[in-house]
Amino acid sequence: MNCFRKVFLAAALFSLAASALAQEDQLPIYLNTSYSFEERATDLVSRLTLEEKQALLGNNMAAVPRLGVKGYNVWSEALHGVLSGANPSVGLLGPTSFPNSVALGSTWDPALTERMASAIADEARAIYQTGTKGLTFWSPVVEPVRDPRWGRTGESYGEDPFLATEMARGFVRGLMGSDPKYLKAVPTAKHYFANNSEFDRHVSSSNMDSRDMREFYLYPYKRLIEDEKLPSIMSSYNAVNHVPTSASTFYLDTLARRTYGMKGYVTGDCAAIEDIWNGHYYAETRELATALGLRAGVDSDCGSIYQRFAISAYEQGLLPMADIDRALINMFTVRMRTGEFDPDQMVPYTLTEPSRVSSAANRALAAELAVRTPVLLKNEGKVLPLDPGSLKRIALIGPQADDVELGPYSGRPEASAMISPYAGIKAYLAQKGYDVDVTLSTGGDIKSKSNLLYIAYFEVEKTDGTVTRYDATKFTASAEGITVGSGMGEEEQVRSIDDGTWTAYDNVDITNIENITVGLNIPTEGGIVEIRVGGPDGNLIGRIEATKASGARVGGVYGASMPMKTNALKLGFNGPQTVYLVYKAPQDAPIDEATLKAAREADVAVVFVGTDENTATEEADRLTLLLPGNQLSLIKAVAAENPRTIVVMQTLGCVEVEEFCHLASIPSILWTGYNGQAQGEAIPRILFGEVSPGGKLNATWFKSVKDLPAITDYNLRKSAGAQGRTLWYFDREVSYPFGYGLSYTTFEYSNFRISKTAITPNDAVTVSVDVTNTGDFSADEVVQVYVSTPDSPAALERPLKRLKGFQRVSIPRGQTRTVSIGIKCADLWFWDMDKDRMTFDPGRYVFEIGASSADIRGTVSANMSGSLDRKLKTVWASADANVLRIGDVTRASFSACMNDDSFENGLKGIWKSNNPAVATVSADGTVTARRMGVATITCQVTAGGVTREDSFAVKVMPQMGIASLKVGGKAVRIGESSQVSYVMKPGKAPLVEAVAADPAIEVSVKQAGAVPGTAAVTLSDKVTGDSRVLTVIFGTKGVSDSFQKPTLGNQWQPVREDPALWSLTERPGSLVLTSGKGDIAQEENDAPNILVQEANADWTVDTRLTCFTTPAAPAQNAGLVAYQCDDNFVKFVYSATFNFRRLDVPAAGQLQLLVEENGSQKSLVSLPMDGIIGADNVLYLRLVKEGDLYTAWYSVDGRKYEKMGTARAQLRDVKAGVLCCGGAMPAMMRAFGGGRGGFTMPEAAPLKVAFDEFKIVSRSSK
Amino acid sequence: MLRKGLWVFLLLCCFTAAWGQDTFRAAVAFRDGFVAAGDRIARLDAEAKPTDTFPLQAPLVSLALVEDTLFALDTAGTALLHITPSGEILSRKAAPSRGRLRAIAADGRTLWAVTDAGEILRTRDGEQWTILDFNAHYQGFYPEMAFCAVAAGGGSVMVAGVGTDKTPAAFTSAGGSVWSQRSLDYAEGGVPRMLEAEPLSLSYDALRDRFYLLCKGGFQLTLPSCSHCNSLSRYPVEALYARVPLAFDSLLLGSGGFVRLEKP
Repeated sequence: MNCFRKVFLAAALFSLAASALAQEDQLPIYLNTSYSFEERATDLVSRLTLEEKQALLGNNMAAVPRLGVKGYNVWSEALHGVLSGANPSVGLLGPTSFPNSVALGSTWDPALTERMASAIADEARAIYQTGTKGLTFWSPVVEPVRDPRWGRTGESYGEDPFLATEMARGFVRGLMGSDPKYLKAVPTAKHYFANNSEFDRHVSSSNMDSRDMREFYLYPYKRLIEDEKLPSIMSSYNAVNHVPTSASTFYLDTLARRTYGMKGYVTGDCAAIEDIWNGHYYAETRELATALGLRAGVDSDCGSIYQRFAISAYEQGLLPMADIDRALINMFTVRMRTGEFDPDQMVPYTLTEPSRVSSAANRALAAELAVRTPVLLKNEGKVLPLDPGSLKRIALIGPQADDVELGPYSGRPEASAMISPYAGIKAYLAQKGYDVDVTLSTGGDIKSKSNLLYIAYFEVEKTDGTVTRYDATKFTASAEGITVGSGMGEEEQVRSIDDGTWTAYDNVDITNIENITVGLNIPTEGGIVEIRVGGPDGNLIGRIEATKASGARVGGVYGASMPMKTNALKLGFNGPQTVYLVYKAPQDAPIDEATLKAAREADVAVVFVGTDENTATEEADRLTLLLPGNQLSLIKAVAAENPRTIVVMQTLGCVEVEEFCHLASIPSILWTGYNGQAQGEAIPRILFGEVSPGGKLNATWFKSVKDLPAITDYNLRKSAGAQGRTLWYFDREVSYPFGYGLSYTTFEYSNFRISKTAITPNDAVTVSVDVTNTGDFSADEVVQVYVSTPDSPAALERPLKRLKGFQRVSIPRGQTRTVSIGIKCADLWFWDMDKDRMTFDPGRYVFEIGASSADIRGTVSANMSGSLDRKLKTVWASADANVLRIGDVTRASFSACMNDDSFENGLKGIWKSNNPAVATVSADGTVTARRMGVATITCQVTAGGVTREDSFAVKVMPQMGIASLKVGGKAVRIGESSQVSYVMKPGKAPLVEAVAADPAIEVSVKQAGAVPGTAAVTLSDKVTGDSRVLTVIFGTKGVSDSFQKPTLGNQWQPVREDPALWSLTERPGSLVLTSGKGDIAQEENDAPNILVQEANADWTVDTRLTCFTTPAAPAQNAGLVAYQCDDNFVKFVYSATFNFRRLDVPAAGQLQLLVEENGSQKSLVSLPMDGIIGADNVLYLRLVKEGDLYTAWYSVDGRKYEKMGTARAQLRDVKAGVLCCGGAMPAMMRAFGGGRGGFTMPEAAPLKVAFDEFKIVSRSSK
Repeated sequence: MLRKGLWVFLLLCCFTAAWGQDTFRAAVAFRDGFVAAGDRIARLDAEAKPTDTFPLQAPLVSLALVEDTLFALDTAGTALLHITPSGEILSRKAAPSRGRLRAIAADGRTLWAVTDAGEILRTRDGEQWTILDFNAHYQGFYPEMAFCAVAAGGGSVMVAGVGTDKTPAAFTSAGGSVWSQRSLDYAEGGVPRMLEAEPLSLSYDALRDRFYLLCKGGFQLTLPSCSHCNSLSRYPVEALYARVPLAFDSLLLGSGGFVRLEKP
């Protein structure tokens, strides 16, 4: 589809929406560009039905044709190019793939990142114009790399939060564009927060103190939200300090919104909401997980929990409609900011042509970036750059020599745009006219040795055919590092399996063993499972080669296990033994002679090695920092053949290099992150000296993985047995320090100076230095400024140093540039954990200026004194509801956060409404809805000499009330209840007449016809489809029963009568009920003997209930019921407590007040009866009906009654009575049933109870 | 290489067909086993071994079990059939739709059906139907669809079919009135791709809380709760007709008599 077709389509949708709403007098507010985006979004949300709202709470946002809202997929990725492929049907080439984040981080050039992101946004707009993708992108990753083993290290900009922030700032700016009104595209910073290990991210808690949390983990979010008005963040899978981030009001609302001021939407990571329920077990039901997520502030669920359970969460009373509305307002406000709902001519990006995708300009930009990322790690004897004129033969060796590794979350560019090093070098030399023989040998492989296998179970099959299965995750011992998890799958597996690790299982009977089957999944390359007896080195009884190379099925990191069988070696073992599963990596392939010969015969050998997406990725961290496969052997073997061996590494981050970096025969080492589609174009320009490498490491390169604390340890500071983390706290020798990188030239630093030597937190300083290029190449240098506080008390354990400024400068050879770096002293804060606010240590602040964190060329210092002038930073105003009906009153409130990130209480807010005719706001923030329309309510607050304000929009809808109600010609006063009751004699029912309070509301009356009977007055909002029903019920007097007779009175109408389960003779004077199987619970409507009588009025019912036994699992219950049908009733019962996790453990009985409406049940009040009910198990129950309000009372002695609680339910043709049910297993548990490994209903003796009386007093409404 | 793979594929198809097994196009879990139907109807035990086989008046293409009551569609798709596990037709309700009924599915007491005219139907009693004319309702917003697959469970229902340009598409809904398009993208070796195979049926696995879209070419697209975590796998059949979960196991049915019980 070309642009013009898209424009036509957009115009058609716009006019369709407009015509769909032609019944309105004017353009609806949400399409009227004279209103603010937030007002328009609020108006749109107000028009949605509940089912539409639910369908819009997820990633795949539903189309709403009647409103002209198109379907929209919130999810897309654009970390270093739009995640997409070529689409010839709409004229799109494959998008440009730029260097990935770890590579970008090594440029130390935010402006370059901004240009890249702007180009990505151009391509995104061009793709969007074809209607095939949205404009919301879940990029960038701003989490600093706490631990290089993290599987997503390559997606981050680096180890230091300041560097990560500045690089992300460039990305965010570029993606958002510079238009003052419209967003070019929408960045989402992720994964909020402390999602820094993959293997356990769905179930784990990242535990830390508030200092590490604020100073390190939250720093990028704070800066991007405060400085760049970041419109979206993604809440992570993990918990922090045992609270899932996606369920935490504190993390999302208090910190992200009220402290930092984020306006926009929060999306949960895919399945993060589900993880609240079945990952962290933080919520017992998916409805509760939905409620927790929405209430905390996750506006959109990338899983499908919200879209399935929001309505039931709302109906169960777990979630107010206001929270659903607020989530949708946040989402639609951002969608509107992209111009989606505006005429195309107003939006500056709408005519972006498909030809912008993979345009020549963007290809050139990818190539420009790719030469600015490489980091020169070693260059002994200035072997680099190579002089092509002096070379006759160059050997390109290694698995990446003719490969283009793009890294995750990249688009798929055109094949012609993907240039491998081999292709690039050949083309470069040919273009320059050099006659150099370029040879290519792969020579090695990148087969991952981490995460070899996931093991779910093993089976022992005996000669008699019997098979015994063992759960592999229930090992009795294991090698260090082994973990158990299911990732995003449903199957628990042994994970983190490294070469040489093992798991052990006691008491495995291997008598007459014939075969062994192991249920396993191969995430990447696979490995070998040895089954041994007695120890990891014990006797081998079986061996399974589960490798990709051997043809075994690769399930990927999300895969489930598949069985692999082997014949057991019969070594004569009998009886129970300790069986070991020992895991081995496949043998490295030997380096072939042809490769070595090529190296030997070349003037120079360039070895291209690295990592790929199998080394580490989502769900899978690295277990080692070694180069994967046989690459280390390859490097050493080539170096042994050729003394001019150059190693070019392209990896997702730091790798261990100690084994080869000191070799004299390897004079030069070059590193890049995944360098994009033009990686092969860039490398010859670097190798042959056209461009000097100017990148710097964005992370510390540790000597060994052993230098790192456990990956699950999120503390940064050194502790007993654990090194400190990152350049902030790691104080041991490293291979290469943070910020390190050589050049073909040399730079001299001189004339170090600082603008002020006495500073306060309110100042800004400028640190300056003169940098002279003293070598033979024009080149870039990255001047870095680190700050330390040597006067801080040691007990405070301040960082060794923190990066606080940098600048990449291009300096021609022989020239000097003065580099001035501005630093705001307010950014030098620490977090005071006691006072919960920023703090500034007094004393010296040393500003170390250098070429890396270790190569400090000079220092300047300033003395810090005084304190931060506390000023108002963020005002956050909100109301309990944004969608109101005329006459509604809602409360607005505000919070005020100061610039030290603490809250100030007791401030006065000045409230105003921009449209008082629609909604007024009083001085105390009380908002009153006056007439239909939208209004923006603003709160202005002054503190610390600064005045700030915040606002929110409200939409006022027509009133759903009744102006007058007449019954039999007499006016009736309507209170809060939605039901009016009359006690009458049987006969014709009076006529009911009603008039709606608002002419925009339709009213219809369905007459009762007869007594007993029910008249229904229905009020309908034509716009939203909302309806409200008021019922007038006509009933006769109830008939009490003291159960003195041996037969039931005529007033009783048993439902599903089973005479065997009730008796009036077993205990004279009592109605004895014995529970049958079943209940009247949601879809399980099979309980016998619901004994009810007509009671279609208001009433009070009393009974004395004696339980012969305590109600047992899973849900036996007995008591009173107000009953319309099996799907609509109020139950007040003494019941068993259902223990979800331990069906076999009896739980104490409880009183429960339950309501079921339209088959959806909710428990409103429950009261454990431990210590309340006597040994005689006697309870006096009283249920009072007043209109739609049911009030439950109980007593243990019949004299003193306690109020249990109230419930509202609008039942019709009401009956009242008693019941005794065996109980139903909850539907969720039933769904897993079937008796084949699922849950089964525990067996319990039937519940037997006696009702000593049933006293009913009927009345009309007051 | 491709030719070699094709030969293996064809040999495998011939081999399974040579077994003389029935080709089943639909199945439901039924009393600790399965009822499978195609040209004939059969009871299978929990290990997918046939225990009884019965002839049918007409081939069946879809089955659904609503509270122990078995419903079916035949190839004509003009009526909803109430049948016994041995294939006896107890009653026949004319389809209340314009299009041919192509697939049915049960979720609790609700029976869902879809038609090749883009209608989505639901009923709780077999008498009163709610019919959504999807193509009319979503004209201009979603592709015009001919549906051929439906599955329900876990709080949602999914329908799938092909658009007028034969592009496959799927939609989900919680209540049946409002539908969201479920992207059928997946990644293969890191490369983003879109499903191209023609859908044949849908299955919902409650234990794993995921849908499966079964397609021509033996393709199966797994659609988990995570909305962009789809994954594609392929079975050695020309057409994958049905996937029926039973606790942790799944029965897979395909062309050429393909019957496989997949265990975790």
